[in-house]
Amino acid sequence: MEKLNPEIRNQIENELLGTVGRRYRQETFWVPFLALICIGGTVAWIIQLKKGLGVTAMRDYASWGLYISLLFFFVGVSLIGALVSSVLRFSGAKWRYPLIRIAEAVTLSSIFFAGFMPVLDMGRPERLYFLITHGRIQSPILWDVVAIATYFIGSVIYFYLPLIPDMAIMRDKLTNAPPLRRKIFRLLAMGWEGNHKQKYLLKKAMSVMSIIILPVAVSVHTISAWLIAMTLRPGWNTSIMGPYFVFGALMAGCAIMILIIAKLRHGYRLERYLTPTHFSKLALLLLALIAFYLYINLNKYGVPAFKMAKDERSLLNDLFFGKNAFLFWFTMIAGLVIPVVLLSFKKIRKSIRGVVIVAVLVLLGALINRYLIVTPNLLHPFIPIQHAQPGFSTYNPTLIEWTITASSLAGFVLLIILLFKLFPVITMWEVIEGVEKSSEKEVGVEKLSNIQIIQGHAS
Amino acid sequence: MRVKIKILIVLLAFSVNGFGQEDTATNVDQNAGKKEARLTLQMSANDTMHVATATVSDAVTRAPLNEIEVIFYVQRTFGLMNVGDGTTDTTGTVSLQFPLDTRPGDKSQQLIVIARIEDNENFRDTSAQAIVKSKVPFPADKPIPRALIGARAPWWLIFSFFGTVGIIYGLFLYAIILVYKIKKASTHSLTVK
Repeated sequence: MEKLNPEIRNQIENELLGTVGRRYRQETFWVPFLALICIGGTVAWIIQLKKGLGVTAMRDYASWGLYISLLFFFVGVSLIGALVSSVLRFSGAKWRYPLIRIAEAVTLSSIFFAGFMPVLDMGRPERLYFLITHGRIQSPILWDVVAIATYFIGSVIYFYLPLIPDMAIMRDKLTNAPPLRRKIFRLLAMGWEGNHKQKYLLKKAMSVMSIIILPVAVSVHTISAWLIAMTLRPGWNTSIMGPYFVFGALMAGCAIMILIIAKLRHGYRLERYLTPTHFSKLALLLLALIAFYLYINLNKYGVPAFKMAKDERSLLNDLFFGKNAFLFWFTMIAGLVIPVVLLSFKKIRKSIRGVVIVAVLVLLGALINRYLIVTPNLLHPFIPIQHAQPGFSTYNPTLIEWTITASSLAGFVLLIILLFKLFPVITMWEVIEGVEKSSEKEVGVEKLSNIQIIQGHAS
Repeated sequence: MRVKIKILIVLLAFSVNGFGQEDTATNVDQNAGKKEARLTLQMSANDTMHVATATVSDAVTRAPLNEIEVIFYVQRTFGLMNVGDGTTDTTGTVSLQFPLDTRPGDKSQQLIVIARIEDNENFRDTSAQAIVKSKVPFPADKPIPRALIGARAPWWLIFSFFGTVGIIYGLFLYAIILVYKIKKASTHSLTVK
């Protein structure tokens, strides 16, 4: 396709800039609601800091509970950035253009909270300092902290790079914005003019980051898996943990991506740019990931279940028939089998509502699955813990834990909302360039004519 | 001097209140109304096995006690390892055998064997211990083969760790340098007017 008509190009930029600082639908309900949960969580955390971890249900057996389960969930979700920015980039999928910034925002928010979860799990968070001064390189905990910090820094850089030309557009177009904002736009735009040299340098920087971010992202989740796989516990003592975590993470990331683009599409009226094509493509990707994850699950649980070795028996009985049986079978059937069956139908993949429903099931299953990976294994050690008081061998999360967990999830969503208050939801220049170089069909956007400008900063 | 004694008293008082209070209270409740038993432990050995013989008698009448369950432990670095249990016969004795090559619990080469009466319906919790000089060396004298558990990280791990982290951050830095070059490639002035 030839270069877009300057008028249409201008209209696209104005329309996409319209999302910056604009209230999306139902924001007046969701933002205060999520903020309230965050405040509740902060109060609960202060109580926990004052009274110690005794206010949680974590005891001798289950020393990791909801907080660490959520850490694994957040680390998993963060993999979506690498999937969209790196894997889809190398596969040449043009339809990724409108999704890049959303994926990076999800990554940034989730990895931020992933870094925060171990702090919540510590009775004395100030002792984190000793990890820097006395950290042992042999410990997977140190590897995990370094990997999460590295991925966070990498994600910030990757979030920023495609933002440079958009910042220049904002610098040039949002002349009515407050002076401080205009100054920030100017600084972040790095003097972008769109000349050949600048384009070459930006593409080079993005290529470098695309290459390096993928192994970093995979290492984050693999190291998180090693945290437990390198511990002698039934269910954890297996070499499949790394791939199990990585593919579970990609699946959860893909599911949450579907839900967030559905929400943003509706909330910011981005129906023209986030089309059924994107949902259909993501649904196909999700189908492949669920099918593969189901296969890994068959190996993880099926092989030990066939042998029913003495050490694993107690844990497997608990998961298959015991206290956790409902949660386990829910994740397997509602979280994996039903989604595979549903997404096999083209009709469902073509329906946004259908894809969203499946994504909700997958995400719920993935969230519960993280809990099932962590806690039941701790409750069934190879050797019983000596002198454990009655009640110390069970785990029923307290209200404090539920509140802090809920507030972390609320904070994760709130941070994404905040990011899109400051930056456009869709990478403007990449969408325009994608349309110019290929076509609207390949990028997955609707025909870019008759664009209607929505009131926002661009007005 | 007076100050030091006061500090000592305060610390002792703190330790009494702070540690073990709950256990003591629980033990008092559990053992209330129960009789006292006398437990002795003797060690011997055959070619392959240690033989621990516990004798239980009434603390007041000294009569041997029949049908009393005795549990045998060996002291480990971080706790007690259960090596077996048995019930006393009419002479009040019970014997248990465990392998002669059982490792000692610390560097002193001493194998500490403990016999206990626990949660008996009629008699209070009682324990006795015997110390045997073990011929099996404590593993601390030899370097532990699993390098990652050791105090110092092996060179290859330090090299791999810092090498990997260095390469990644090096590439991050390179990307930032490219961003700086983008700024340099601009023909416009960045100063705010």
